Amino acid sequence: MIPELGHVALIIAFMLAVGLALLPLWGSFSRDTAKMNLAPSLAIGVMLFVTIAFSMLATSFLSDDFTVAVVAANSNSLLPPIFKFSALWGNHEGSLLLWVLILSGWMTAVAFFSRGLPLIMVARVLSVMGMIAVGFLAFSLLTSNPFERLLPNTPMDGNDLNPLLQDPGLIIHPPLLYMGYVGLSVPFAFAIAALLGGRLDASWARWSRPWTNVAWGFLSLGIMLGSWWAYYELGWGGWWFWDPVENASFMPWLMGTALVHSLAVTEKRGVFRSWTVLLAIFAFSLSLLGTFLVRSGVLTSVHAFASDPERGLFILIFLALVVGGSLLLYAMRAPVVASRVTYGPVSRESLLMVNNLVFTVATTVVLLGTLFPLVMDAFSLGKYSVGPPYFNAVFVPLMALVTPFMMVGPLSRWRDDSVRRWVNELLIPALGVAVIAVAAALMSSDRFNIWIALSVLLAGWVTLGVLRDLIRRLLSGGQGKLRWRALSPSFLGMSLAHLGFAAVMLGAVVVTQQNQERDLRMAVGDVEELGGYRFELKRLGQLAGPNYIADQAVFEVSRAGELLTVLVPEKRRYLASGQIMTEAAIDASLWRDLYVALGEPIGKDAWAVRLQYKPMVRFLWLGALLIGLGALVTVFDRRYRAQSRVKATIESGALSVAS
Amino acid sequence: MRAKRFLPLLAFLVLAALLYKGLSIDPTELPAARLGQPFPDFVKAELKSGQPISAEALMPGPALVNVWPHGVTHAGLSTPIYWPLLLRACRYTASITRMSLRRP
Repeated sequence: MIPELGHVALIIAFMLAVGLALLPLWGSFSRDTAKMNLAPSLAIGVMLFVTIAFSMLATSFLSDDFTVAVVAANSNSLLPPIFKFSALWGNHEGSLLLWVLILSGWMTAVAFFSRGLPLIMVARVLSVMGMIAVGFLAFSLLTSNPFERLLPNTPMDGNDLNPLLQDPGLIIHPPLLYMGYVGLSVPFAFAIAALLGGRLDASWARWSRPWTNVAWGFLSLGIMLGSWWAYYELGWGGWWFWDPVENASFMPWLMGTALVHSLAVTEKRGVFRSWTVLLAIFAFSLSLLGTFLVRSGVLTSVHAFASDPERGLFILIFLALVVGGSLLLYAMRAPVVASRVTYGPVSRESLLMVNNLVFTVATTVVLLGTLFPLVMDAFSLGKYSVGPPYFNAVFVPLMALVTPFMMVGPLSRWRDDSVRRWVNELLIPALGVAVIAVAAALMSSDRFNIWIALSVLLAGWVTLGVLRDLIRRLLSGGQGKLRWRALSPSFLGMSLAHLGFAAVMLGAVVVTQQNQERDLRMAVGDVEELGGYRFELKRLGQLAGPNYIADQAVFEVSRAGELLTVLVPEKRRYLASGQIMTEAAIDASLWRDLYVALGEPIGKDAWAVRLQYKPMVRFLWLGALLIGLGALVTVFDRRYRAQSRVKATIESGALSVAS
Repeated sequence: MRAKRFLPLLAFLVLAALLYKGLSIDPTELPAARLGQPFPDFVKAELKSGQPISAEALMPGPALVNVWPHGVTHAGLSTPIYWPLLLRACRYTASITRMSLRRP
């Protein structure tokens, strides 16, 4: 009964979404206020019924209803309850439902927070989001029904959730990532609505900017969690693999980074208008492309969903309609006339254009690398796989290129600035940073490491830009008083994100350059030194978990004769699937991680062991956390709230004149 | 000027055609790339004793060499219980020498 209720709720949600896609949009062209006014209620209706469907599926998972196909395939009666719940999105059908749930959540948020916007804009934005919901609900109902039953051949127990996914990180990683992916549909919808209305002025940029920042922030956090999970769960200590599915999430992020900056220029200065619209379309198109790559089976990846050409064709047609349609609209409606606002070659606009170019090029090279195997295969030119050597060679220099501009960016002035002013403000401290960078590279290892020097230099420059901006703002009041009010949320957000970027860069370079690892055989009583730490294998043991049995090895880690910690890596065998999992033991700290993972048993009392010393690896995720939080902080800026109040004042003013 | 605005659409159409073609390709199908070529040279330490092993030590005669990356220990083939199965599949008996190979 419960799965059927869920199915019916999903069908009702689909019908409401069809209404949302058509009626308000129709009303916006026929100037029918009643139809346009339907948009918020329809959006909330979709959200309610998708929530019902989602709850029904969750209930099926939590109550071990193995008559439901996805529950039987992805859950097990022995699975801890929290993983039964997260197993819902550990598969194609359920994760699609999560996707739709989050989309309907964003629609409701837009309906709720956009009451100050012109009705025609709200109606069009929600209609466009409704169209996306129609596509995904149809996809779910027609090709990937999560409520399908296994009757009468119901299994006694489920196949269990993939052990890799039985992890706290995987409970929140997909929801956060989807918040980002799907959130990019909001700036997309605003861009389409602006194109439909033919009004690409600064106001649409101001309206969609907070939404873009939030979505991009969630995407940053989601990617960060994925990387962190891969690090501690896959058992060999890597944190980024340039896998097609990782790239699928990274491309919208890169494009989103360009969009976040381009929106700033369009809002403040009214330039880059067509370009910003195009970026908004691209960013969401890339998240749709990601969906296609993950769910269609056109590329091999370690973590793609079970794929099916029928599903692939469905998404491809949907992709063609959404992306093709919006690019056609762009081609017809985007303004051709260059804007009258001008800016000099040395100005904040130019610096942000550098940002835009670099991130667009970065997206393109990642896209080319990801699709290259497919291109070669399509023309029968052989089987290829593109890995880290390509991506690192093209991506790292691009990021290094953009950082000096990041130092100057926050200090620069709109319209017209001078290089001399930048030199006056930054030259001496920038040289100071260079000295620190050389010193750091000399001290960090026996011989001078140019990569460490470069990364400290660039990260230092970014930090310098942030600090200089901070000081300038604090002193902007004059009379020796600190002006704390000048530290607006949008300034704080930007600074946090820039510092986060510097931290990620520093962490990535240091851990790549100074990583120490050793694969060796260790028996009880064996001692090994690594990175100045002493690892002693004290004993081996066994442990029975809720749905697995594990071999454990107990390592005592000491430094200078002092016991620091006890690390207990495990090798688990999951009962339902028989899968073997490596559970690494990690001693984490800000400046270094100690990482111990078991390979396989060698004889009775020895194991192949991998020991790793990973300096500053935490900077990666702390930095990404700062980027995400920084993006979220910007939403609290006063001007977004002030905007709705001003709007309200104008409207009441107009009313009083009319009466 | 207007024509320039159609460039993104054109690029997307090319991409869509490629993706459509991709649907009928099986990316997991992987023809043997080194069939008939000599076994690559290597010298690695044997895991138990630390003695060096080279490609020459495998000559002459049949040898089963199982190569796997560290990242996919969960994929199963690295697990010793599968080795007899592999050997049986090859219809050879050979002594198993275990090595741990580093990523390049």
